[in-house]
Amino acid sequence: MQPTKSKSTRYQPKGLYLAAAILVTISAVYSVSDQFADEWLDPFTNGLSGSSPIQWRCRDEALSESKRTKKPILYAFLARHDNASLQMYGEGFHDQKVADLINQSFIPVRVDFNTRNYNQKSALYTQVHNQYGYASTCQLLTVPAHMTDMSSSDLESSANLSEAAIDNTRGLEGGDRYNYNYNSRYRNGFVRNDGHGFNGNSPKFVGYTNKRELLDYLYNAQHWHRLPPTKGKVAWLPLAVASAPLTSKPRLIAFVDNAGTASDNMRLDTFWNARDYQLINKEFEPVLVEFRHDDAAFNMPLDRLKAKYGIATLPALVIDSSKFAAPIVQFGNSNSVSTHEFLKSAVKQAAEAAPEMQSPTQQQTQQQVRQQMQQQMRQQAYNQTYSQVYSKNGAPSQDGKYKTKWAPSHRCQDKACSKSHELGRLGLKDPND
Amino acid sequence: MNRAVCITTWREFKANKVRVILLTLLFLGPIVMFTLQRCGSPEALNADMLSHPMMASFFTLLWASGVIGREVQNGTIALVLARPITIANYVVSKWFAVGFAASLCSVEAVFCEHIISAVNCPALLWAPEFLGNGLERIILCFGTAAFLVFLSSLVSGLKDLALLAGFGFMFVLYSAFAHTVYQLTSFLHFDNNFALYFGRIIENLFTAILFPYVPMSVFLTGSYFAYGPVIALFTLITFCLSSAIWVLTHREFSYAAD
Amino acid sequence: MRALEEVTGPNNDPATNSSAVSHTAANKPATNNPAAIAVGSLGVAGCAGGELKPAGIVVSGITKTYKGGKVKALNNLSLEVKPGEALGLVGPNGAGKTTLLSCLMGFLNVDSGSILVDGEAPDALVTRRVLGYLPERLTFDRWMTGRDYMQYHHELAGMPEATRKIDCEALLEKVELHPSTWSVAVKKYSRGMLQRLGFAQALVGNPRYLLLDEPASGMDPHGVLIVRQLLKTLKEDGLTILLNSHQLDQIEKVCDRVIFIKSGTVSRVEDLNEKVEQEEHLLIRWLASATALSKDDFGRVAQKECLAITEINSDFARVSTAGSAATVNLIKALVTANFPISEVRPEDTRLERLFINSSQEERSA
Repeated sequence: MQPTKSKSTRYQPKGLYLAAAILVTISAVYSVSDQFADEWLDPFTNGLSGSSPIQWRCRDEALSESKRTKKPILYAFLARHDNASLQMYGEGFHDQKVADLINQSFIPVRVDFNTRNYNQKSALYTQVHNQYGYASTCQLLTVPAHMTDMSSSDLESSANLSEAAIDNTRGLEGGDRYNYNYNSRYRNGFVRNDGHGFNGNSPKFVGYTNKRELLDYLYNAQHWHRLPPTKGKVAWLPLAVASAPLTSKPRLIAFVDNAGTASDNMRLDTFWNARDYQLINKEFEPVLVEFRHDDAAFNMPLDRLKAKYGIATLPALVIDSSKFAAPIVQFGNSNSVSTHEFLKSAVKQAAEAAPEMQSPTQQQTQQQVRQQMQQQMRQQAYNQTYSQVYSKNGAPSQDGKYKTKWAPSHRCQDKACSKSHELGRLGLKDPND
Repeated sequence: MNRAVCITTWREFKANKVRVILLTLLFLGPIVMFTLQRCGSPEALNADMLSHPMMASFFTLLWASGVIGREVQNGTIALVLARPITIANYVVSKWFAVGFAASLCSVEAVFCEHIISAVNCPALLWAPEFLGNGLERIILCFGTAAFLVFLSSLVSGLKDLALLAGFGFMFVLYSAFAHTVYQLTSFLHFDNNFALYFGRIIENLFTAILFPYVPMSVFLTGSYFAYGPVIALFTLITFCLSSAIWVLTHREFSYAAD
Repeated sequence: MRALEEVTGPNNDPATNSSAVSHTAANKPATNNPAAIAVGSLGVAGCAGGELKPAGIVVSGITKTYKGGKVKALNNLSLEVKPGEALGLVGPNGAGKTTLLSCLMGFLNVDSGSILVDGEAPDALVTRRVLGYLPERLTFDRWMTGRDYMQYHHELAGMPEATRKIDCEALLEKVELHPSTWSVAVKKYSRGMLQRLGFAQALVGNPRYLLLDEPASGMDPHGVLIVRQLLKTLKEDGLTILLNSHQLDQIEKVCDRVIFIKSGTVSRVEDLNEKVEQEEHLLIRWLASATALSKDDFGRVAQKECLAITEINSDFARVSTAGSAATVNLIKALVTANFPISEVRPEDTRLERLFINSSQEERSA
């Protein structure tokens, strides 16, 4: 007698097994097969596919167009696996206001992260990465038209401020939303002056939270890079003064770029710093020589001045006076303290030095001395910049030899040794030893 | 689904003092940390400052470790299976019992945090992020519960915790040697990408199995294509429950004294 | 005569149902060939679909091995349990009795052969409803109270909720657990109480078959008596009982048939209802103070009827007779001889005698 097929405790739920098998197959194929996922499932599973009201361009087209129309390029870094970028794409970019704003004021370029092959980044991402540095998913990067060939460090910290915004230091209310955001960001920036100069406060967007913040960012970014860079509170004299003969008051010529970290630092450190600009206004004849980063035609007449003082890199502060043997130059703006010291020492020097009329031989020797001193001062300025950048202890050596912390040094216990035993405490060994 | 099995599972947990104490700690810990952090910080409260929904998996681990293995070890499973109940019914009841209990605990925890946030900032009482977090926790609980029930059906007693630790150890071990594997494959001229991709699958598999996270909060606040996580969740649940049922039905319960 | 019996749902009443079977299915006892299974001799069970199925438990030629064939627990074992009878399983340790019961319950898969309970596989849900099982190693969730435990199993068995409380309390009373212990956690129960609780659990759901594995192990004498009484009652109610025990006196008092299992196979089937003429060992006591007769007189009188006189003392003697007829004659002779006999008692039971005989045979073989 065979047992009939009645339900037993060992009943196998065939329906559940079938569902599990189907789902496992789907998951396995989806995760293992690139081809399948990319071609067939993409329209269903890729939240970034489909049309959007934003007119995306490719990079080359965007570069040429931005040069033509002077609009900033907006790079949108999106990844299909990232919730935030999907949300930004779905919610933010499909919004009419956002789309209009972007299409009107920016040139949007879309950079997709290739998530299939973890190690391979798309070619476009590599290009952008090489120029502007690392970008994470759900990030927006605005590159102004005149800075499309700049590197990331200069781009990020390009802080072009207009006087109006800085002047408005009253409360948070009042003014339009644009000013509000502007103020809060800048005020924070000024409070955060940590001794290394202003670190740049261009509007940044990483990680999407809501539409309001996206709109805020877009509003700020579209205006940001169109603002003229600040000239601070220094009472600049007209450019013609730079070529005029020297007077008793020392002349301070500031060579700055209209973009870039270093120039920004100088504008915000020296030109805005009360202690510095008051000193400048009192003791110097300030002249501002402003270069345009992308405009060679504009820069041509100013290059003459650059050549006269032997300036290779911007920014630079040149202090010239009839009482000086040679103009003193400070390159770069690494430290507001050093700049202030530089200005004060120049003032002191002007006060002490008082060259009188002397005989031709004396003039000749004076010329030689002057040349020597000029050379010395150039070297000093150079050393001052770099040694203060790289070392914190001790004055730079006077023998003209350039020594940094990284110079190999000799270590031995021999007291009679004539080699330099500088900085041996770092433990660096002289490879020639 | 059998009500008696569910109720007995819950009462069994309640009778185990160690687990109850651990549950209290797990419940209070994040809440106390959250309160201290918020009270001391001048930052404005927003709904993002919640405990991560993956906390729910720890609640599930506490409830679901050894559910079936405990009964197999004690021998009480013989008397339960001697009743007119299918093993499939039994396994699903166990899964539902631990999933429901763990999701209840974790939703209560996030509710406490919700109330605490609302004390500081009443507008947060209506923030939908808490709802999203709660829903994510419920989903996570049931997903992790399925996996733990499966592990528990394989071994007896509390050894499924050891299995889980072994699983994690394997993952860690692979991560440690992933670089070597990559170099080996490049040396042998195998496909490098596959080695790396396989490593990524392993990493993601561990996380995806133990924490089948479906971002519900994104559903609530914006549109989102969620085929991937939802398919993964359902795959996990159906596969684990089917495997548990299959294993138990093909297992012999021998209670001979010799 | 065939008896049509309907397999109803969980609320079947064994009193009205199975009694019909036990009376009408008057079976000739199976011969010593346990492989003879005749459908007609069993009685027929009908199920809800109207098909006719044989009632009772039928085990045909099952083999069960462990460890990939190295350990053979059951070796071509066949037996049948007719509905309404109490079957005892006797055998040395390791003979496979517990394995057999596990196979009957469907916990173990047999390698060959088949098991049918009322015509269904042992792990079918309908079978589970009519089976009550008391395992050898009885374990409980120690935090449960007695009542909770019974209600849990009541619910698991699918019984209606309305009668739950009443049914559970009735069962607990039936196994004579005091009401004060019903709300006490099981971890505080004594061994005997645990065993009784297990027994009560086996009775949940009004089963028609009871598979009991060592029901009286670890019990105090009171408990043993309770179990015996209970089994008798249940047998009268018409339950079919399969009893696995080491206590031969209990089996002898309760069971209709006894199956001896040795090394995984049936070595002997014994019907206890059958009167078999067997050598009897008796202990005879008399009041020595009330008679002047001496033990020599006893020896003289008894010698004629007995096979052997093992021992004679002043007031008792051990004798062995050829059978019950000879015992009757012996007693008549003693009484005629004016012996003041106070007690005639068999020294070992029938089963014990069988055991001793079989072990003697083994030793000589």
